[in-house]
Amino acid sequence: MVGVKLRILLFGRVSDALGHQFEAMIPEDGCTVGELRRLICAQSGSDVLLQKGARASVDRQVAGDEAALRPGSEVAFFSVFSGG
Amino acid sequence: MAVVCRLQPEPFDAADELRAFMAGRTQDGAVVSFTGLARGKGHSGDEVQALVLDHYPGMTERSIEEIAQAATARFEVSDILVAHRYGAIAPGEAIVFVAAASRHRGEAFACADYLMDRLKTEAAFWKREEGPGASRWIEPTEADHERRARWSD
Repeated sequence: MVGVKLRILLFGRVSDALGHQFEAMIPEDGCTVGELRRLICAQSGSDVLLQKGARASVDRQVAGDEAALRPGSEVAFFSVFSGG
Repeated sequence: MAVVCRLQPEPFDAADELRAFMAGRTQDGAVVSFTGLARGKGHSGDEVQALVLDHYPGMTERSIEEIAQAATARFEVSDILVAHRYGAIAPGEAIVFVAAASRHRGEAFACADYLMDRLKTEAAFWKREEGPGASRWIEPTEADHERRARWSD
């Protein structure tokens, strides 16, 4: 794919399958969080990000699958929060 | 009104935190505090050598601050303190300390309860138990979610 590299951060249970960070290629004109999930699934062979409870943030704000990503966005995927 | 939220890797002493929070407090009739401790055994009885809390710098602080600010809007409290650790926490050490001061005990109790229910399910941490040769993610239980749901508007 012709595109740009995006650094992805991972936290919680989802990091067991994909590590704590890696780079993925996204189209030059960007994509959505949902499209990135499917892209990572295809590239990694793991469907962990498609499973229930796997959420995302863009630039450290929780984001839905419709959120737009641009080159330079900071994207993270994570399993459910567990503080306290 | 003061809202103080602290995120730190170092251990803290809950008694010191409470003493400092109460110092000079002459206008409030109640202070309620809660300290969450790391346990030395998991739910299945297995030994836990450390509880490890991963966090996402920037996002984790914001999530705690948002919860504390929401508490001030909801309860008649004069001050709130939330201190939360991240990293490896040994059994017996404090994970979290919350305190709420109010003129009356009901609001202080409810505020501390609310803070903990939301921190358990909405603060950006990922918690795992590390034991001899094993590691296990700890996620909120159904009971945790039910407790959080009590505060839904």
